[in-house]
Amino acid sequence: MAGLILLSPAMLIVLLLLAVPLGTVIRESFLTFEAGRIGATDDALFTLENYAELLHPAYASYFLQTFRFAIFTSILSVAISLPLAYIVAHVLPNRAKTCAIALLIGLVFLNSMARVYAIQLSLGPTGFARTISNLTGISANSRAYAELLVTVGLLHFVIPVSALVLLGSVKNIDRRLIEAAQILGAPRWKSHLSITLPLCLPGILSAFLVSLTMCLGAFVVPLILGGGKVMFISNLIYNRFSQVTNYPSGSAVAMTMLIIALMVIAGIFAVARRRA
Amino acid sequence: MRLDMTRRGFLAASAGGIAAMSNVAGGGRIAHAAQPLTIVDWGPPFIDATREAFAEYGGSNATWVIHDGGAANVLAKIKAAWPNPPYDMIAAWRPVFLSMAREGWLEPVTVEDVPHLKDVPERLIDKDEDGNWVSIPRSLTGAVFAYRPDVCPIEINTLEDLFDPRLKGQIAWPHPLTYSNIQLLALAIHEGGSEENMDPGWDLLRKLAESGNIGRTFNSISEGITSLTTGETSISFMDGPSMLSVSRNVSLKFLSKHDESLKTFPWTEGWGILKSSKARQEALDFANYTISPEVNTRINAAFGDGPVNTKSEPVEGLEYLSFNDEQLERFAYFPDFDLLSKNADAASKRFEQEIQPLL
Repeated sequence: MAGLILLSPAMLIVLLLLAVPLGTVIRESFLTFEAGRIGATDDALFTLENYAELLHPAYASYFLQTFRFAIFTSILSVAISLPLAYIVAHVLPNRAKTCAIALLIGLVFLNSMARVYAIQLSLGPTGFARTISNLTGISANSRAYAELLVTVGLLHFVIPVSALVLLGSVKNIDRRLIEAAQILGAPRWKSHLSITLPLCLPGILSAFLVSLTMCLGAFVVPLILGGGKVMFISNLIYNRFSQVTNYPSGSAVAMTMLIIALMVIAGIFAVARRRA
Repeated sequence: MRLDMTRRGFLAASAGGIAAMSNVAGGGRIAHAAQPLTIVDWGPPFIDATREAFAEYGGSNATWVIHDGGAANVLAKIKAAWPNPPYDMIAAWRPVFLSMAREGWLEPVTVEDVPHLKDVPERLIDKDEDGNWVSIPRSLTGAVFAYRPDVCPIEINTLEDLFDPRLKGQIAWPHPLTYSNIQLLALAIHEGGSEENMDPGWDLLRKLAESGNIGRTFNSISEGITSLTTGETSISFMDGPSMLSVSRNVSLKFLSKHDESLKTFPWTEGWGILKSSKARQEALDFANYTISPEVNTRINAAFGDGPVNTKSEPVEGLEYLSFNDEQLERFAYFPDFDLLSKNADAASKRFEQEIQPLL
């Protein structure tokens, strides 16, 4: 009873700020949209048409594209963040460690628009686009280049967060285990592979899921760096809500994305639990 | 008795009180806009010119809000806050005014309310379904094809030139939600279509997408401006002021009176006064000021648009928008924005399903 009372303020906030808006979105997703109006009218009829539209193959490709970028970027982010977190936790001297952590936290709080435009300026036509294009053979106006920019943009956001999440796991590793392995003849890479990596698995999973969530919800990065060629589900939802004012369709897209994302995350947890 | 006091109400009351005290101290001078106005306009140069006009007008009490992207984005904000949106007057264009009129949000206006409207051609004024005037036009502008001759691999003379294989990745194409898809209408008209039959336009756009010549599609006009200015792309279709801002930095050739296939689409932009506004008279008075002959020329010179008041001096540098009757017939097209705006949802979906996957 005491627990319930203590939980009630938090539950009230969750109810008001999450459950009620979510309920509104769910309801809106089943309403008919009248072209030229703003959102569903008060007397709108219930329909499944908003969900049926999403069966078009093009929308499957947008969902696949979003998840492809999110999963690939998350894996890459963890692969880069883990050694980064290890270096910060165990290699850097104390003062440098504090500066590094401060830098990572500072990167997280840096204005997102400024960062995205900085990437666009650096890697766009006024920056190194031609150099990269000549080196890789990828045209700066091609879809491949747009995908590269989006990946770089996403990594720019998720690496600091991943590194901070992994820092906790990595710091808790007893270095004596690694030293003992090396004393017994294991090369450095093998000692990290057999000791550091397994012990960090919960942290790696957390970092991966945090990165995945951030990438799935990314909006500014594909909008600005995607060149109109890379479209995430978030951009689709934005178009529906802000420009077309087709709230029912936007709500249907949002709910579909939410369900798929929850299924993917649940699946990852299930696999992780089974392996553990 | 319950005292309903909102933030706006408090500001209004304070402003009224201060104005009254000023009257006493200043011997009875009355400042314009004693009621605070909340005015929504596009970003620079629009809002800068309008603020300057407001200051010259003697206005002292206004909150300025910049459109968040396209003007249509304000519709969701008004809907969410209706019947008490935090705006009094909104700068927008025909498709947005038509949407607002359908929702019943716009205050009807007359020549009695806005005397300078008598010098504005009636065809430029937006009307609701009952024929009431619901907007106060302030600018005549339009969208036009243009290209950078210093960057573009070929000379562009006709619409067919856009399909030239040497133009890989050179075209910045507006998303259908930008400009109410009149860029597709240009393609449709070329193939014998119209606002009622846009299928020929979609077929041509599909071919353009398959050709690989579209280097970028843009939702926000600033992306188009950046793309053209930086040389990422060299050909685009954008509104006049945006093209003029590009031409101030790089060499740009306007294709408005070049070939009949490269149509220019004129439209008006203006003010809409919300029915919910508590500063209706102040809003109408200021709107009237902005369309007075001299002020209309001045603000449109800053915008890069043409004046709507027939007594205004024309603005220099807008030759691309200046048509005689014969040129109007051949090179310009006045689209049915009502139909286009109603089809925005369908157009957006069709673009997502048929064109986007080809890019």
